[in-house]
Amino acid sequence: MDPKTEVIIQLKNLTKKFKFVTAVNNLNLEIYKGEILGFLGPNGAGKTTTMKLIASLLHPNEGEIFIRENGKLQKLSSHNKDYLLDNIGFLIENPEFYKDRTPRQLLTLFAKLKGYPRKKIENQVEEIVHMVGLSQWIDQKLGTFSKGMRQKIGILSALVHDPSILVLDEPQTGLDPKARREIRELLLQLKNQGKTIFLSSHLLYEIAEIADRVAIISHGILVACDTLENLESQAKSSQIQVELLNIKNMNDINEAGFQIDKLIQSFLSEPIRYNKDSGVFELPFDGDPEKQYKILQILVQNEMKIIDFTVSKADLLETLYLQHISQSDKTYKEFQKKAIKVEKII
Amino acid sequence: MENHQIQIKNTGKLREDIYIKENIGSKRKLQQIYDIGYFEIIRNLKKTLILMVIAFVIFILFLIIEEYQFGKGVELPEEPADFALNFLMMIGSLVLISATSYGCSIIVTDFEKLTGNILFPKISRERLFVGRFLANYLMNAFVILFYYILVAFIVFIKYLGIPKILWTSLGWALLYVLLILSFTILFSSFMKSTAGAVVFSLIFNMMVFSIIQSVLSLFSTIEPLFILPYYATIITGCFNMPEGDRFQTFPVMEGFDITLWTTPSPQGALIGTAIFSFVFLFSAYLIFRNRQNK
Ligand SMILES: Nc1ncnc2c1ncn2[C@@H]1O[C@H](COP(=O)(O)OP(=O)(O)O)[C@@H](O)[C@H]1O
Ligand SMILES: [Mg+2]
Repeated sequence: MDPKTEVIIQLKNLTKKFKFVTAVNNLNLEIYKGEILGFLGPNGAGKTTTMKLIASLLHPNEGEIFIRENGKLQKLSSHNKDYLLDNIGFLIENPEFYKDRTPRQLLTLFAKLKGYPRKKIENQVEEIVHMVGLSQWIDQKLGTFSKGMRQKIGILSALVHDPSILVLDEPQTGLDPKARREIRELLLQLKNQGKTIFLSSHLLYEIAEIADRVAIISHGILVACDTLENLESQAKSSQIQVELLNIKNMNDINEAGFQIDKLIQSFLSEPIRYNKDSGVFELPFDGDPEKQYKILQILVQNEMKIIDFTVSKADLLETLYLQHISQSDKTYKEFQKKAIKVEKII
Repeated sequence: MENHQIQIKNTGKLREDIYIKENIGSKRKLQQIYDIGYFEIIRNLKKTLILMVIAFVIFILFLIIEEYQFGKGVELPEEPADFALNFLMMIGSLVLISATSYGCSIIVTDFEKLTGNILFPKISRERLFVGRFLANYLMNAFVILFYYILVAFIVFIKYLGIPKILWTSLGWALLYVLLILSFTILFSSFMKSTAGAVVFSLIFNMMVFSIIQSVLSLFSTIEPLFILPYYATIITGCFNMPEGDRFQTFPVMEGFDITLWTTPSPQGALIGTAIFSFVFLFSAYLIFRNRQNK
């Protein structure tokens, strides 16, 4: 079997209701072995709740969770959870540490709790701390660590027992760009070691660069789940950014804009824009790669002096993401209105 | 297969794909309780040391008083037990101080500072609770034992022997530790901060109970077995357990008596402590189990 499509965690019709909200609503999701699956949704969408359900920290009102162990997908229940969850490392919500403990003490405790072979613990702890470049800090108190360092230790706390699956809840949130990049690199490194990573975020760009697939959740409902490429091609609108040589004044802009418009108007969904800040022309189109190729071809054939031509992934996805979210917002509001009406009648 | 090769390339060595999981099942549960307990004891070393210093200071104070009286010509008591008793006048307070400082932080810390985020789901709440309770009880018992060893030491120097009753008294003191520790753990389970739990359990133990007790002593002759500090009295009371009534009545005015209970009976103390500790600990566990962050 293709390892890419072997399901390692399966969520089936998962529903979790709290008093006032349905945090997770009939969620179906499959996580494949060896992939990084990004779990994207605004704050309050139900990401943490979903992860807590997988961790058995919460129990679903409806639905089931299956986890592959010994080659079989097995249903998670209260009597096999120790056994099934051993193979998963969790980092749920912001990790906070005992300020007076050191990474060595804490990671050793977690390795022990997870039944990692005792004789190998010391080695393992040193090795993973080395992996994130914090070797000199291994015996320093955690209270003195920066947020980025703490976050790394948080991720290590999830993987110290060498599980093959990692479930990480917003590991990049609140970090500076450098620390975020380091975390992303670490996650890619872990993926290369063969680990499966289920990673949540409320910011698209945090996962766009590393996720193989993205699942978008809003109001507890899964609104999309696919590879980035497929999601992009689904995007109803997106834009090409074109930078031209020798655009110096309004005259140049008008002239070039007019010319581009004449050539490729039929491919565009909206009029051409010029972005003064970045100095590029923005060509709104429907995101179809075929058209993208044609546009480039025509512009080049007509000797437009193109020095840059991009369809920025993040921009595109952002549009898609917002489309999905606002769509689900609408449905949600309608649903609520109906619910309120029903309540009134009752 | 492909994955495996990538692994070798990247880490430069062959990682074992699946390590042998150690002791799954009930052995793992016990192991986890032990590991959490061990971590807790190491984490609280400083606290334990401070409490031992406090115990030592209390002991030295009593020693100074004894030596001062001896210097003034007051003779040593005939019985070593009576001499030992002089050192136990503050043991109830020592238990209160130590149990409050251990018990109050047990549960609330993980919610106050959100350290629970890193602990769960690595360990279940049930095992965390048991491990922490056992560790804190042991540390607390150790502090009290330390004090008794100091007392035993000075008694031995003066009399070349240690009365057995001292160890009986230690037993009652350790039972009292259980009672107060459980009570403070209950506070820790629902209060928002450690400081709050400390303040409230101290208010209860030092004021509320004694006010109730004094009011009751005016109106009734019921043994105050529901007043926690009453259980401290058997720690010293066991040295001279009364043969008959364990209470005395003093007339205040016409038809109005005050009833003062000196000590619970051994049975009363045992049963009372067992029931209270169980109820406190079990309620604390139930509250903890359903407690959410923030
Ligand atoms: N313990 C809880 N009790 C009540 N409501 C909750 C609880 N946990 C989460 N919620 C609600 O469930 C929804 C989803 O929350 P969460 O899963 O934390 O979202 P996310 O992690 O995507 O930001 C939110 O509306 C939140 O207020
Ligand atoms: Mg969240």
